[in-house]
Amino acid sequence: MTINYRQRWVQDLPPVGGYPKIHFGRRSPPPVSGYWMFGVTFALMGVGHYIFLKDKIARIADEEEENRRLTYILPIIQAENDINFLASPHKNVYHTRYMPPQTPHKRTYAALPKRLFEEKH
Amino acid sequence: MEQYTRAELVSSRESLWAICGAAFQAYENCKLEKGDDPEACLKKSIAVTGCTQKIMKDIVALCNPELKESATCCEENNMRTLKCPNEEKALENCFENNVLPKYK
Repeated sequence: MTINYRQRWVQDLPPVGGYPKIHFGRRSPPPVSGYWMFGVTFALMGVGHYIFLKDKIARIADEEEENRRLTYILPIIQAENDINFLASPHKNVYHTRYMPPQTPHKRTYAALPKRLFEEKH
Repeated sequence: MEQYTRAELVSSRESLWAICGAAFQAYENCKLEKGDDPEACLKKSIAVTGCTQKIMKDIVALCNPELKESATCCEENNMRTLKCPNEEKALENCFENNVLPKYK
């Protein structure tokens, strides 16, 4: 491409009537009403609560059903326990009781002379 | 006395109650009436265990794969049976076809 330096230079000019106006000023978003935000928030909360509570009610019902099913074997276990208890090799099963640990109490201190515990004024 | 796991008993509870239900009910009534003394309801507890042993023996003999599958599912789901309806259905079908006719 050759350049003809003798040609007349012509400066580009703006279009007739000028360029369109540039909006450089601050533009705030369209306003959202408080009622609308309030409504949307409560609608979302309502949906969440509905899902959660529905699920929870289902879970409670399932748990009740599971417990009901587990109780079906209770007589068997109880009867086996009874027989095992009566067949246990221990003697005096009816008279054996839990013995609490023997901690030092009144009897221990009774052997000692009382003057050790008397307050000195 | 054969010991069966809790999972096996829970899986076959419907089958056991179908045949031994009256014995279980009588034992529980006796317990309610006479208290927690094991000797007071000894005959009924022997009836409960004997019936359970008999039925479980039959189930193990005739429906062992179904029982094993059902018990495994129950154990794997933390002793919950709601998640094993298919296994339980298979066990119940096997029981109704093979074991229950013997007691009718």
